[in-house]
Amino acid sequence: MQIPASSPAIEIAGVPRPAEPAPGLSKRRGTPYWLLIPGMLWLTVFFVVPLVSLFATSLQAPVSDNPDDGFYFAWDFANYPEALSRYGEQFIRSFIFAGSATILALVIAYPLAYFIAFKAGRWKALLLVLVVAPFFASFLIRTYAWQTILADEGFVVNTLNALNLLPEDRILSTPIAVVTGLTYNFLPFMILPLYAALDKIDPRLVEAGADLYAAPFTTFGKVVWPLSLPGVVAGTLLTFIPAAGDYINVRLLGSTNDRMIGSVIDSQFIIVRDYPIASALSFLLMASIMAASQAGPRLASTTIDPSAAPPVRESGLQRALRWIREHTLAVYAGLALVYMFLPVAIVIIFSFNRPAGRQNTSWNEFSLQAWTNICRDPTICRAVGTSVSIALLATIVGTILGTMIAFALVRHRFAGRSTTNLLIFLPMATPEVVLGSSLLALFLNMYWGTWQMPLGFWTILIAHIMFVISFVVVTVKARLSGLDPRLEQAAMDLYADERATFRHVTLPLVAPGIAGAALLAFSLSFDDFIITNFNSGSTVTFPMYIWGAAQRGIPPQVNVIATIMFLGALGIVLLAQVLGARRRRASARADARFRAAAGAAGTSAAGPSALEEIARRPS
Amino acid sequence: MADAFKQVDDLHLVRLTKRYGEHAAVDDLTLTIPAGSFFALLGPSGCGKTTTLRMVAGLEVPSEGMIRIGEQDITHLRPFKRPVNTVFQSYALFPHMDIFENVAFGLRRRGEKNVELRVNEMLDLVELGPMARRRPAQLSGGQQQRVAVARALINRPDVLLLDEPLGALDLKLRRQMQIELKRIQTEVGITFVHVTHDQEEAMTMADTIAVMNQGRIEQLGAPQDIYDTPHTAFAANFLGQSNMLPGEVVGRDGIVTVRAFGQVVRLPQEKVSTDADRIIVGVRPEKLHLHREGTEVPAGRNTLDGVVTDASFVGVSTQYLVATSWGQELIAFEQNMGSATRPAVGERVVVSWEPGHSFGLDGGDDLNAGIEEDLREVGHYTASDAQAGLAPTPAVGG
Repeated sequence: MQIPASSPAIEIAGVPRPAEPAPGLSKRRGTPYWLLIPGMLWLTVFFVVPLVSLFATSLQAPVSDNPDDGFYFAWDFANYPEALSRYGEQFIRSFIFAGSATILALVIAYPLAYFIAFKAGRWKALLLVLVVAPFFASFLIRTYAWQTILADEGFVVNTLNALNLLPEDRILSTPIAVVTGLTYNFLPFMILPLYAALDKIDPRLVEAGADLYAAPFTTFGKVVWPLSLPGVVAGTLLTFIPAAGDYINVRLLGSTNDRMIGSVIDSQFIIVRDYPIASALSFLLMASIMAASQAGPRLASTTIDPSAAPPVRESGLQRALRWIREHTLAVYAGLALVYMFLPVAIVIIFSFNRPAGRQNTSWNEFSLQAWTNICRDPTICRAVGTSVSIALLATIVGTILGTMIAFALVRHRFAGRSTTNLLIFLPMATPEVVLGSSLLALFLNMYWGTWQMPLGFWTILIAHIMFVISFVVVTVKARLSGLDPRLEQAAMDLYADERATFRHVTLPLVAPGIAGAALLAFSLSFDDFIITNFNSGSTVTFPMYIWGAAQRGIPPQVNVIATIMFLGALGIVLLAQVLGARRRRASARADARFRAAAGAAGTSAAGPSALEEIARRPS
Repeated sequence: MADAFKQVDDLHLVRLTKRYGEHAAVDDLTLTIPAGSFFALLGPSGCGKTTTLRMVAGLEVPSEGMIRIGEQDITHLRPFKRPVNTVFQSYALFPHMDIFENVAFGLRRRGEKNVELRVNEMLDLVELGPMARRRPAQLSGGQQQRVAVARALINRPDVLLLDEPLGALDLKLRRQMQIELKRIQTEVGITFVHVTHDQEEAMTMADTIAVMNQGRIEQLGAPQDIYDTPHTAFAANFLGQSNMLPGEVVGRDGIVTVRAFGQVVRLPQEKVSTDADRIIVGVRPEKLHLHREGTEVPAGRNTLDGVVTDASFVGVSTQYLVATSWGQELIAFEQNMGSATRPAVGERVVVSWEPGHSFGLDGGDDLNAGIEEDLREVGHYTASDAQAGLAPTPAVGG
């Protein structure tokens, strides 16, 4: 599961948001480096070094015709045109699939984000929870759920066939299924930055548009859309980058004819072992994504011309039309949520299934068997245990290192700020296959005499810490730079020294951001498959168990665990929301008499929840 | 708190300078603020008043110079070591603490006793007792402002700094808070240093005003003295409106005689702040009196002829624009006493004023200094100016 981070994408989109260090604070020059060194060292050793060595590998030439004989460094740039000519087709297909998924995600996400930002009222927080919640049920298992939804002879396919809408009479194993899966999997990457951008738009601007004779469509085209562009750009990049490098959706939903570039890189590294070609492909993928992310914003900056929009007609059906107009958005938003929850529903329902055969993809009969005997296959529970341990450790270390970097970036001026920012951003812009494969290359090269770095728990942990740091930095940084520096100055003015200021003012105010970052880090780590798959050795995490079990059939116990994870996360977030609301109510009730005086502003007194924090990154 | 009068010392700023690169935000400022006074730093945005305040608070480090309270040098003390507290612009209340904890913050940091008692006392002083357990976001702007004052005052600082504390409030509330702040200051007897760009606010509250411009003090004095005898065009324009006549000094004999545009006006020597031969004679609009044709002008008054080009009734007074033969438009405010009929637009009038109501400025001063920064205070430049194609200036039009 991954939740988007809009701000780094904005930075490459050429709209940097430098966080100005607060004047009057942090005069000690040494400080930022102490905050930076641990995290940056981690990123350097486990991200930059592997990337450099990956680049070196891409210039190697084979010792002989047999790849098993190994390779030597040869400045062999010919690997690049070679890779391109061999796998150009997969490249193009990846971009077409990822592009289609991105556009679809935008079409689905924009009205939903718009609805949440402008129309949801007091349901805003709940809807945000609902948007993110599905992604606490495992990524892989939800993608499998699409197999059930789109199965031949299933409800969806039968309906569409009855309408004669399907060219191949089926969806599964066609590009349609792949794009559906990609769209679905990366949808929150689109929704959250869009929401963050739309939520910042003052609703009075829309009213002003209407006041100045703009029809609703014109107001949208001239006011809302241009102002939401940063979110559109961020969402587009954050959907496109992982989608272009993905191979899981193709493997699970597509056919071998639909192979994307991620699949090629994976198999070149793991099966074919043509490392130079695989490395060259990795770099070509990164380069083309960079190029696309430079071009993308320019394309996006064309504004919608609303002049083509039809004027609202007055007619006898006026009332009906108005009802439709007023409720279209809500209905659309509802449908988008259904799309997001459908696979989760399937996962939950099939946890109560007693599968007829080995595959738990079609309904047989109701049973509590899986729920009463979760650990029937002890490897499942061991895998979950491993995943939880890794995720907890990665969360703790990653959150600490990332928070320190965020403080250094926001609070201090120092030489190398832009380099630091770049180093934070790059891991997020690098496809997971590249991250995973380059790290593997590094670990394989870590030996001393007969000692060889063993692949397993610790290598997975190292990899997870590496890729969660960036997400933590971005989340905490957003919260920190949104913090009014005068609050800390006020504390200093009121006799709080640096320590007391940090303890009583800075930390409590930044805590929701740190909590959000930790939640994000945990879910990223718990759900990661691609990077883990490269570096796990014989250790089995929960996603790897699912992947491995797919061949012989996924037991319903996996659905049970996914359901527990989903309900648990939903419960925690909802509980936080309810407690926050109750605290607000209690403090308001204490002197309800003065409530009117507090003004109609109705701003919440408690800080935003961790979840809103994730969504509310600057854009 | 009335018994809390404390013995405080004067605040001294000595040759204080703050540079950002080449630009001096505060330029060699020397100033003594008497203990227990209500002192206003008045000036347009960017004049260095807030920087000065922040240096006193310890939030900026001076490039040069010294800040002392009595004999204690506080120039390089960290903010939390100074006997100085600040009411921040837009208040900077801690959003995660309730009102009580906000106010108690300083006492708790210093490990003081009787926190509960003192906070409640202070909340009563600012009339927010019932609000103690609410969060800042649940209060109105005026209430938040009072919390900010209470939070700073409770520490009984030697000096209380107020950084545009009323800027976020609407006009009516601002008036109310002005009176309230003045009351609190008299009650506790602490030195208040108030930064504002609102001349009316400064004049209402302060015992002493320092008019700042480009990092320097243009003029320092009691509000009435600065208003009646400004020393520079900037001070004259920033505190209210003026009519200004540039001219040559033709006689100096206790009474300074000036020839301007062929007219002769007189003013007392003590009202002239320069020895230059070219001076500007200024006079405030409410000091002018309009005489209709055929009425007697009392002897000894300065007089100018003109034609009324605009008359707007604003309730307590009527504001006239009177065009002179050389094209300048004079502004005159006449109180509406309800007696005589008012001159009409197009009517010939004689404008007169007491020589002692004039002031004399150096002829080299920019007549428009201090105007564009604060047009809304100057106020009256409306359609008639636009039609006449005049720059928005209360003084010379040509």
